[in-house]
Amino acid sequence: MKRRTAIKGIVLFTLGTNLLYSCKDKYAAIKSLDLGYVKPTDAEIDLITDMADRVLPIQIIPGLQNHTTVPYTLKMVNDTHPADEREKFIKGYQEFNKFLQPKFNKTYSQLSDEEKDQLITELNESTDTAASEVVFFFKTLKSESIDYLVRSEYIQRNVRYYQIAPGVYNGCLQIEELTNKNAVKNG
Amino acid sequence: MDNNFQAIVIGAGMSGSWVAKELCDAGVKTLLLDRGPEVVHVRDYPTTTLNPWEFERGGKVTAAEKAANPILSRCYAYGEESEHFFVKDAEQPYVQEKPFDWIKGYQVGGKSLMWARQTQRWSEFDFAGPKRDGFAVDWPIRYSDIKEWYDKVETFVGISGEMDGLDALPDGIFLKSLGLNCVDYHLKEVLKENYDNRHYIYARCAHLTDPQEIHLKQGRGKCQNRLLCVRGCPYGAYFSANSSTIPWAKKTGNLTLVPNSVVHSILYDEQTGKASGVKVIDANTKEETVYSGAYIFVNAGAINTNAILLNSKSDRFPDGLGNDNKLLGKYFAFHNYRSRVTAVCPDFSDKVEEGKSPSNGYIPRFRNLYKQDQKFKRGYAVAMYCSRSFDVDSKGVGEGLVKEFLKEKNFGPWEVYALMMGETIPLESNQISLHPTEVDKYGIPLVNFNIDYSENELLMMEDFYEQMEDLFEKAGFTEIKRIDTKQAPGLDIHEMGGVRMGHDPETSLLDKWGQLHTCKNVIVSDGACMTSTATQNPSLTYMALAARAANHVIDAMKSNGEIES
Repeated sequence: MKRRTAIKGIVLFTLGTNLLYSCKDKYAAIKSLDLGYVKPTDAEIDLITDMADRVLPIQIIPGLQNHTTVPYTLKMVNDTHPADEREKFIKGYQEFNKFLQPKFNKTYSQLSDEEKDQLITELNESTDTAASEVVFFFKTLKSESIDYLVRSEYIQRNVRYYQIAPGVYNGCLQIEELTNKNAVKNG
Repeated sequence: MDNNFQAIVIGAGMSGSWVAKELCDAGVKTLLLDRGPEVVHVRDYPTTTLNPWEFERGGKVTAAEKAANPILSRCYAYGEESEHFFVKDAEQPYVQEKPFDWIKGYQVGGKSLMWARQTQRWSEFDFAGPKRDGFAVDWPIRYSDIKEWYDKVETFVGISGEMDGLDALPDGIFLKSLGLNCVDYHLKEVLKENYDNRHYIYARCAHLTDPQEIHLKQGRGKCQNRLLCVRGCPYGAYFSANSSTIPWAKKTGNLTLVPNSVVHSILYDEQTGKASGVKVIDANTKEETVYSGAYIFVNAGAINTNAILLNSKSDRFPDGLGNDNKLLGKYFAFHNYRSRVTAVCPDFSDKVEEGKSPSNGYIPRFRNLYKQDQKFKRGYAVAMYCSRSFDVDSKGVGEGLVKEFLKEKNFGPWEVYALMMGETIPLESNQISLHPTEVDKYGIPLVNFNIDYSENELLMMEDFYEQMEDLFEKAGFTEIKRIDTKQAPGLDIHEMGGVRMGHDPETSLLDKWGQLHTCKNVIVSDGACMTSTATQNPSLTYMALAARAANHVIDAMKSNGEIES
């Protein structure tokens, strides 16, 4: 039955991503997602992962040390973005090193930490349409990473006071009376 | 299975399940047909207890699904959490002479699983409206005819509300209110201070805020303020046919429920001058079955009820069952939900909501209420949504950006959203019909839509914009913006009419009990029977009309000795 298949899929995906967080072989783990369109090479996975961890280093959060936003980002781009956006994203990471050549004459992996941080700051502020695929790739990586963080159990429970069944409604609560009833240590 | 029943109900949704419940309670052996699969309460709500981080695609449907379903994708409630309840575009093709967004829920329970659960009664102004204002035809009933049925339905369903004492929106049988939020209360005061005969109330909704014995008997529990209703509620806290009327009817031992039953047509017996049964096509095997019954209730949802009647052709009724006057499918109407006004409330920054409310603010119709005083006919109600969400500065990158997301109680300002719920005038030119040549996978003619907005709706929209802007300015709101979604009719998901009730067989299809004038053992009490639309969300009225129609037949069956008194 379709509904049961859906549940199974959700369970498998959750298990898969949890496995990934504790797995050092990020290449195999990402490939195991079996994405139909977004299929980065190992070198491209290095690029995407390094960049994601610099754009939004969620690992600094105590409950998310072992998390990465990359599988979620790739899954979302693969599954939910329209074809033109998806192709733009793919072209963006595929041509990233070519984009770096005029300015740095290096590949991304050859950049120093300072250069990478400078690059990311520039991309974040960029409205450069000539490099639109690269900029689009960067902006999408950032926005989907943010979505992953916001939807994480840690942020939902610890910062946004999420409860699946609050069992109460108060339409005029003083903000200081809002209490965290369901905090977690590990996301 | 014996294919003979005392009554057949087509459609196991909001109104059909009410008919079935009433019949079964009275001892009538009832066949309940639905074209969709069975959905068992709780068992078939696959996403109902999932947390945000457990969704595979962040709550979104895939790009492929979106591209394949351009109509469905425009529905606000369609997403990863609810997609299993919605019918995909390709599953039910139809013809659009003019754009019409037909949102469908083909399953046992129908759209009672996906509805917005708002339950405002109609008033005398609404039933008397067409006669007073000279449109459509006169309703053959008034508020006094339906009041006891509203009472009955509300008692069973469970409605959270407040006794407001308004002429435009009669009070009912209410469970306790959850109260409004501080911006709602502010707007309520502003409205009271600045306008005559305008009221800001707690919208009545079908949620168990304080379950009574009758609800506990149904196995339903208290609303947990999740507002995840579109997934199906594991507590049965909001009314659905699946959690309430269908299991109740099953317990009587009088119900036979047959899912996956696509009704092709109603069969007419030329000898008796009555409908004799229904021809059904199995949705999976395409096998045909004929069921016979003494009474046929057509509650397939407004559009499919019209379609089934139009497709029920016989020597006596060559243009569709009961369609001597050739008005079947005409005067089809809807609600105008195109217009919204948004704003920001700069006050109450120290206040926030805890939990989620299934209700919201509501301004009942105030235009043309006691007399015609505007340049347009009828009027609109307003649903008001006031809320605030987290406000994160996401411009940066790196650790600084992460820390922005860790700020607690980092709320943005209150945002306000007013939605116009406009009455539309049923017009003869707004018609659904059967396509002469194109058919669906069951060989049933496709439904053809020729429906549009009229000048009256556009004039009403302008008034709504002006009145909401004025209200919001008086309330001290900022960033006031008009929105016209320009959405096609249908996206309101309040289809009504085509088989309207009336006094006169020359100008209407149904009598005051919902019986076809010319084939009395066929009864319609879903959206198709509506003579006019009013402004209120219609499901409560469908349920009351359905209960009333069923009990009229029950009384007749008792008189005839068909069932015990």
